[in-house]
Amino acid sequence: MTTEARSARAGLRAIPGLVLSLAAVVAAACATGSSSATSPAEPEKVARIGIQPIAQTDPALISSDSEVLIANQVFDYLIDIDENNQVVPRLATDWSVSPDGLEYTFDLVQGVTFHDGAVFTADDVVWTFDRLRDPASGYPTADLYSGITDIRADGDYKVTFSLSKTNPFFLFDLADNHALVLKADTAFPDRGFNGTGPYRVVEYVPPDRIVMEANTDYFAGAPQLDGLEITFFADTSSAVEALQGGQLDFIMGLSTPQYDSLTQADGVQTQIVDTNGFVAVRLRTDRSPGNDPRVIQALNLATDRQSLFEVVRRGYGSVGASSPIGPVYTDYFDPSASPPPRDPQAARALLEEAGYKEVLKLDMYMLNTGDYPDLGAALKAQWAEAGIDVSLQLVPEGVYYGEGKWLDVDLGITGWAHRPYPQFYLDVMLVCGAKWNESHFCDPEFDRLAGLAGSTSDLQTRASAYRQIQQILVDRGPLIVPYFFAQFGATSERVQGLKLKPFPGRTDFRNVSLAP
Amino acid sequence: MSASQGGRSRFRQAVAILFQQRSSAIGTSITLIFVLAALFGPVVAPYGLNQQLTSATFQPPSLAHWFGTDQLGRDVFSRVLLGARDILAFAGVGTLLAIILGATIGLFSGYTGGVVDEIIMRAFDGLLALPAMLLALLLLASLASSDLSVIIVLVVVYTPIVARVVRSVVLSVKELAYVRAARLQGEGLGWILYRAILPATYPALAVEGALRFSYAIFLIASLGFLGIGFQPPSANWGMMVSDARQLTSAAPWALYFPAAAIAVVVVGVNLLADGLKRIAQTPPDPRS
Repeated sequence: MTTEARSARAGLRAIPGLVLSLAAVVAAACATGSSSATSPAEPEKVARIGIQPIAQTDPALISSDSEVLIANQVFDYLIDIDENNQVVPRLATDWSVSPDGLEYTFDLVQGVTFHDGAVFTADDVVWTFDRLRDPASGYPTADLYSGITDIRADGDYKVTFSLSKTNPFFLFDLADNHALVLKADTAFPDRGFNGTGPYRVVEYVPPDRIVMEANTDYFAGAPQLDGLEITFFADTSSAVEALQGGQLDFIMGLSTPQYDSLTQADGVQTQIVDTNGFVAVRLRTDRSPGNDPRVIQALNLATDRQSLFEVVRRGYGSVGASSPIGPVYTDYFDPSASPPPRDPQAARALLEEAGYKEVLKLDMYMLNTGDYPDLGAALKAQWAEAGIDVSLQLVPEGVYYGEGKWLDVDLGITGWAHRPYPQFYLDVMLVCGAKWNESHFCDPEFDRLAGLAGSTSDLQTRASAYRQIQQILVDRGPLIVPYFFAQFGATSERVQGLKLKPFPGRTDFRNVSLAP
Repeated sequence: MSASQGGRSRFRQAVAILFQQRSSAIGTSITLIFVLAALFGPVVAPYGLNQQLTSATFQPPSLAHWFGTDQLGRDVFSRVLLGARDILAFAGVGTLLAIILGATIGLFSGYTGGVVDEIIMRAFDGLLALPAMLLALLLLASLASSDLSVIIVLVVVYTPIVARVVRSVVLSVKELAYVRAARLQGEGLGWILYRAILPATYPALAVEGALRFSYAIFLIASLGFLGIGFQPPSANWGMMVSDARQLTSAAPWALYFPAAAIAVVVVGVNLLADGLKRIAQTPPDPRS
């Protein structure tokens, strides 16, 4: 780029930046001003965080990164997942599994108290997980924990889970986002914020901010910060400007262009972490036109995944293939299971063979936010060369998911969040009759292998099954996975020790400190 | 002098008035340029609407890409040019239909008077009580997303306004001698409305039409910005602005050029409306 072009760009950049900065500075100043009057925390050691507004505070119902981030500071998990997708102790110090794989016994940390002073015991764990697995509760975890037959306390600091069948991923399941331990018999889990976590809530002013102070009695050692001051930003662009203006110390959920611009910004440190989050372009296989395998093959041949990855995600993350098992799962990912290279002419020939002599017209449904519009436009351009005329139908999240459209439409693009292990995707989106099987895919061999992988405790057997599954999905699967995305975060220069996790809401602030 | 000669003379007078003042001359020129862009955009645009040069994303303005390229490597100049057709065609058709329907209802309601007039006007009062954008959103929420829906929205939003303007002219004209004479001669309702009264509303309709046209452009761009009624890869300028909001650091040109197009065309049409108003207020040249 020439110097003139750079300076012209810088000049053009300045105008919205000034406006947004002003708005962000005013917003952050208001939040800071009012909270500092009430917060007992030392302002110089308080990390200022900008996140999206939250709707849920009951751990059983939280779902967004923002909601999980807040809950994760106030409450504790029995076991946690680190930034490398490994299970690590938290309230459970140690665990053992019975030889038949049907009983898990956990030793609990002793001397822990809730923020209201009550002592933490095994009864709290039993009550928490009984609540989460209650089929009548309607909680999203009821299905996840349907394999638990019994949870019992063996004394105050030992708890045993009994399972109906072996589940090699049970420890991961116990570290689910919702599985934060509450005090037994909590009447209103959405109020009070009474956890055992490293920070306690001192002020919650929805929809503006939530202020926390360090729990100096935290069992694993007091946090290095005096507190957290979390401000809600409905528009991430404003949070970006506030970070650049020195009003915030941490933001997450950045778009690719925002991350790109922050990598060049002064006084900002960027964070990027690969995840297995992905978007799946899928065609229903149980009715025309997707019930003709040649049509799905044609879509695959018409798609240039590498180009989509580079243009839409700008090369952050990794290129996808045809399966939800991505490179993050190093034990299971099979790089050789890749779809054929793009060949629009071959795709067109296949479609003609399938009876679509002139053009195949399809409506493609997707969310109207994030990268979806760009991905849709890029796919439309690629597929047009193969004689596939796609009409993009962008709909709000509430319509796409709330009205069940994503399970009904012929062609759709659906985003799937990161999970620490791959079995979840197979069980809920690809096994015959699975509740979120949006492509209505049904393949007995696939089901057999998925069942085997989900029950065997032998790593080699499981890895082999996953590799075969990836090949089946390349050969006859319903998915086009253009890419696996990375998560982006950014901090001010003074933040030290922060490690963004693949699910950013699970990022830990206990070991974060601020340079003077 | 024949009628056609009189018409030509009146047209020359109107053109002279438009270009007499700098503001209306600028407005007329701007509008003409955008109309030409809408007509010939597909012929002169260097790239296609959704043509993606994947190796040339985020290019700043240059000789190859006058307005730069966006995040998908699409030529912003081509998209702005091609977007003119969407915006002006929708706004033009919607406004024209609203003018025809509004004029018809206004003529009928004003001339008939009485209970019919009361009912129609109160119903329109109800519609006008809602802000145009809110009414548009309500309508689009209940209609399938399509080009026709956007046209319907413009017609529903602007018909009551046109009808009110026409009705007010009808009320001042319907008791004039030449209208009474037409009635006494036994002329039918259609003849009286469309041959006797309608010509008297032309000046007001011309000004109102230009104003509604500019508001329609703005409304369409606003709907595009909100992502309602239009789907990617539409080059609706409002949608382009919305898409480029996240790119203010990486590609500010992708934001500024479509935003400037909206601003310029709206200002241009408003200046043209001022010129039309002056034409309406100027009596015909007695020499013609």
